[in-house]
Amino acid sequence: MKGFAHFLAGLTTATFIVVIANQFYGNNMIADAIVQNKVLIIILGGIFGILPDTIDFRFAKYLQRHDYEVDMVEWDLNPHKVADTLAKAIDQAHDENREVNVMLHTVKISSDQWRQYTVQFDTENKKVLCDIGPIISGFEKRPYINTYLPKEKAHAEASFKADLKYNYDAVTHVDILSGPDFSFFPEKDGSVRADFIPWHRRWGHSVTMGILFAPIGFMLFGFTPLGWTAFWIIMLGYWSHILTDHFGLMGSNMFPPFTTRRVPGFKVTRSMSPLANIFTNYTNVLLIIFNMNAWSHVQYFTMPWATMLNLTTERYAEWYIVSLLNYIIYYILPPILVAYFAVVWWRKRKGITEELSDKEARTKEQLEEVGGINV
Amino acid sequence: MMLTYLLMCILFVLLGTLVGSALSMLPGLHVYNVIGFFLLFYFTMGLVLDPMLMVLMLIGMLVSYAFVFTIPSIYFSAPDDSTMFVLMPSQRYLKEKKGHEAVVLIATGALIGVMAITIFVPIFMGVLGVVWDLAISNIHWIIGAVIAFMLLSEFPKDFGRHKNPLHGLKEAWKTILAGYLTFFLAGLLGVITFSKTLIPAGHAFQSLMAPLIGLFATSSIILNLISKYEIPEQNMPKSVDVRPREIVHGSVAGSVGGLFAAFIPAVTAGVGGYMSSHAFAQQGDKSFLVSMGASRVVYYVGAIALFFLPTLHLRRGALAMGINLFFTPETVQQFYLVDAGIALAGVISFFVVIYASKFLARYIPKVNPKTLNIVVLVILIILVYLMTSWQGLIIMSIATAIGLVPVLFNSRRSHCLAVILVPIWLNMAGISLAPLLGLW
Amino acid sequence: MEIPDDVEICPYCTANVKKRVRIKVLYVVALTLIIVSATYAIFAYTQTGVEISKISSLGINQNYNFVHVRGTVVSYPTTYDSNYGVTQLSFKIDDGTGQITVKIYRDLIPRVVEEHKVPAIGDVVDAQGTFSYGTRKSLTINNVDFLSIEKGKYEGVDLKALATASPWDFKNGELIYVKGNITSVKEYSFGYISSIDDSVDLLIPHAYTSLNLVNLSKLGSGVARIYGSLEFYQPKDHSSDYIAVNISEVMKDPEKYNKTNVFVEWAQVVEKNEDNSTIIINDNGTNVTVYSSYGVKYYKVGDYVQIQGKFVNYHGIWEISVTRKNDFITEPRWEIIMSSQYKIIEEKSYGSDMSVYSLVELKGVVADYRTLSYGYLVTLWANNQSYDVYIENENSVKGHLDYGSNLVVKGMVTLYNGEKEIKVRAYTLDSVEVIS
Repeated sequence: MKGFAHFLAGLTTATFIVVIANQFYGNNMIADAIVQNKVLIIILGGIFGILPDTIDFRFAKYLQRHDYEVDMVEWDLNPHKVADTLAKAIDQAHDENREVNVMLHTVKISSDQWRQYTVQFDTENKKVLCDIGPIISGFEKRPYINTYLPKEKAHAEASFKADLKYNYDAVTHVDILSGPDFSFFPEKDGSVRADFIPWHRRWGHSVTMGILFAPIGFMLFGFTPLGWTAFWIIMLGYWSHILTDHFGLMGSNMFPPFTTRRVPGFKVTRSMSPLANIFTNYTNVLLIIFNMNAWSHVQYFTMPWATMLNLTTERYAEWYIVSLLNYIIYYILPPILVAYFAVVWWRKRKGITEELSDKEARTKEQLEEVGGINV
Repeated sequence: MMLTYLLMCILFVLLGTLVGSALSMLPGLHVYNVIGFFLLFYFTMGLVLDPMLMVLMLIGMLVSYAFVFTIPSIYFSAPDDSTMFVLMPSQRYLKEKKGHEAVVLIATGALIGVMAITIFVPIFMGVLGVVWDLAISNIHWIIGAVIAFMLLSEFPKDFGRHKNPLHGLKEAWKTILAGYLTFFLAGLLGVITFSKTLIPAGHAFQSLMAPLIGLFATSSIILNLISKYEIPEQNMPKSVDVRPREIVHGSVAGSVGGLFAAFIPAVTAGVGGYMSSHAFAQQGDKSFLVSMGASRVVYYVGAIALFFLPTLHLRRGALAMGINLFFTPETVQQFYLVDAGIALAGVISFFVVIYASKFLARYIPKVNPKTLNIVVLVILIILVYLMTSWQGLIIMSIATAIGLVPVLFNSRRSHCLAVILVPIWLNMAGISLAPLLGLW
Repeated sequence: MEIPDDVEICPYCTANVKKRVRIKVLYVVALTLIIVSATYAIFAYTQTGVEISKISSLGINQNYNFVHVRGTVVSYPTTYDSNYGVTQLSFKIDDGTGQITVKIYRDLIPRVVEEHKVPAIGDVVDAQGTFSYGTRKSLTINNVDFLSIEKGKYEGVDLKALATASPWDFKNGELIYVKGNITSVKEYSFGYISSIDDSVDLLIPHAYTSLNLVNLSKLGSGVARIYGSLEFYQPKDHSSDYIAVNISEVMKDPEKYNKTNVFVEWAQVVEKNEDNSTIIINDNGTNVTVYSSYGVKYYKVGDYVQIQGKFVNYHGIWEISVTRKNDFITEPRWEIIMSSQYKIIEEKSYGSDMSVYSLVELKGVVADYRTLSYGYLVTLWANNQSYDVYIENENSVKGHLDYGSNLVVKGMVTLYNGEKEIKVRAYTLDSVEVIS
């Protein structure tokens, strides 16, 4: 998901915790603190909801050491350098039985022009392929079609000896902003595992970090009801990020330092899909509105099902759950379903098939994230 | 209602649109400054004019401003507070000889924004009322969240080349910290301007003019003056390079952002548009330009539509507050008149923008950009001096210095909007910094 | 530069060559806004008024809506005066289903006054404005055209009959007019209470004087016909733990009522004994003694009183004992809440006629004076005889009053305990000028 969706999801989580804490401590205590004493506790949810990406893209990225860096310039484009370096790194990881990292830098030409090149791992033939592509413009990545290099200058291959395990798309594009990096791990069975942007979705995207950050709540508000509320908001806000990310393909490393690999995601959606982002944000905004109504002294709207079942705020839990269910079915789901089917219908009519293979989609997701443009 | 009255209404809308269009061509002149003068004039006239006619004229001016300001912001590069997000793509368009295309895209967004205001806002009237009732008691943390997001989403603009982790962190955090510094300084300037009017009392209602012109206009003009560039011959295409999907995506995102800005105090079109471009996962210049056109119109004009919206009557934006001094909207009929006026002014402004842009695209490249920038700078200085006297000029210089920080360090210029965001937020959250600064 | 025919994307600027939107299409889109504009204009043109709502049906969902109500005014208008003049005018109306406070602010108030739209109790008001829901419902009028008033119908009433009328002789809110002279004026927070012919009180709401609808000087300058609504004024309320009784019934079986708390709504004083602090009251021919520990000095034979006390047997005599905190003897009476209408039927000028209720002007010397809580009681020597002059309010005196001062007194001849005195009424043209 984009940073904004994470931020909103964090805020939404916070509002749910406020509703629960409000009932737990009674007397509308937490809500009054927010509405009347203007305590900014809910923002913590948003801040810690976006924090995992902040950690990765503002810190973890820079802490990554690289054994090799490939840095080409427009007037000296050499695909062999790219292919050879990667092949060398793979073998080195195998031979020296250690992790070897390679950074592929982008080729910037002007403020909005970049030279694109691609890298491909052919695991069957044990080859690394590199192709220099066209110059592209800006974020839209449109190619200047007369800037392709001649085939013989653009293509290079390099062989490696080790067995390579690579789970991503065949072709990796290197184009704008920061380039991607690869990490090669020697595995116990003697093969080498390639990891793409190794610093991302590791310790920063973990359940463990959420627990570590949570006590900040006590630092802000002491061991008071507000402090406890903040504790849960921070922890669950942080986790909300990991959970939403998990609906994508890449997954996260959940329990460092006890685990070291990323657990694959649920593969429901791609993080950059506008539709997925819009739906998530819509749902979050509506849930925030629902919760604000639920904790206010006067309910500005009531749901018909709760009224039908004669539920009032006297029996808060039942009233809340029935109303929420009703709200979701009346207001959240229908617009999303209508929009979804409209888009599906539109795409079918126009004959657009954007269905990507798992591997392709996963690479694309990571590439889109790597530039940092998502946050 | 009398037919003659209806015709008078249409006449006043036309009058306002034409006056507004002409004045909005002046770089740096904000419509609120002009409206301020019109209001003063109106009060001294002793309110002889029917207030509804006056309202319709002001609406005509506002709508035309929301459209026509695109012209100076693209051709003279003197963006106001809400155009700065467009600035980068629009400068690129100008450089690529597609200035007119950029204008058309923004105007299209604005056009759809007007449709959103006149067609969709009334449909969601009831919902807006409920949401407003809920939002009003939570506004402090909502604005706080907007600020938090703006700060957290500032990202490093290095390209991954660094010698060691420390060097990398330094490179990365240079732009981020420059952004935070801008935010802090602009916020401080805002707190000072809001809590103590530094300019003469007679000009008090223009108090935000000097900081805004300094932060957004003069700073970029200075940048234009020190950097080497020239305006190439502009193409005059009969079609625009955009897909309907991009127009729809951009205008929906822009309208939602503009509505958010019109709804929540302290949030301006720039911030609203920025938030919604994230919320709608926008990509690409075209949908961005379209969305900016939409968000500006929905922000400025939507504020008025919300003010006249039966059951809501939200008083947001300087025009709504100004109108409220002499008029309280309440009937459905007034609302119909206002929406009719907005739609009419929208159509006229759209054509004004397109034809003005055609004219300028032809003649602007013949002008030396340095001369153009100096002329604009002089106009701005004269305007600020006339409206806020010499104290305003000092504030403008300080603001210019702050406005240069993000430009020089490549961080986001939206941080300058802290000048409005921070003081209003502090006020809403019940935090008073003024005593700390020794202002009371 | 030529762009090849077969490409989708321009090789020089990467723009799409084929998939583009024609600007003329956008013109057409723009022109559809004309339809939107025209539709709204037609809506505005054909829009008719808002339907009348029942006040009881206005709730939180109508908050800030533009609503239309119609009802009878049930409270006299009040104003909020500040340094900037009158900034708020409000009054309550009732449509039979509920009540709502109608509010008018600032600049609109002079317009309302100009168009004679300040209402009085009993007027029927038609109001359209912005409804706001809170602890009390209110309606803010923002346009003078959205307020219209139908004046109530007033019936003439004899002042004497009104002075001694029982609670059931009239109805609260009944619209009447009376004829008489203003004999005294006192100011309170809500307005002026003045006396008509020293027998019936007249409440003049502040709103009317602040908005210059009622001019006290003019009102006091002769015999006036005054329009207003009646209100039965009870200084103290009947407490619920006192049983309302009929004296004749109680006296039939007094044992039954022994030591009960009783409330007598209306009875006439027939005998007074100040020595033992008792009065005897009569209701429909039955008498009963009333003892008051607060004294009975203020009650005169013939007065009508309302009593709350304990029915006891005191040394063999049944009496109502008024001794505890909630007990009382009051003299409730009908009073008039003035509307803004009045007419001077007989203009009077200051002269030398000493008949009752005529205005006199006297020049004389202060022989004696006493300071009262608000004014003075002066014995004036003039025309070789002494006059009692009662100055209601010290503000009527111009100059410093002392023994031997020469005064010009303007006042009204009134009766006090059967004796004539000259009363210098406050807030009227009556005055006392100290010449030396």
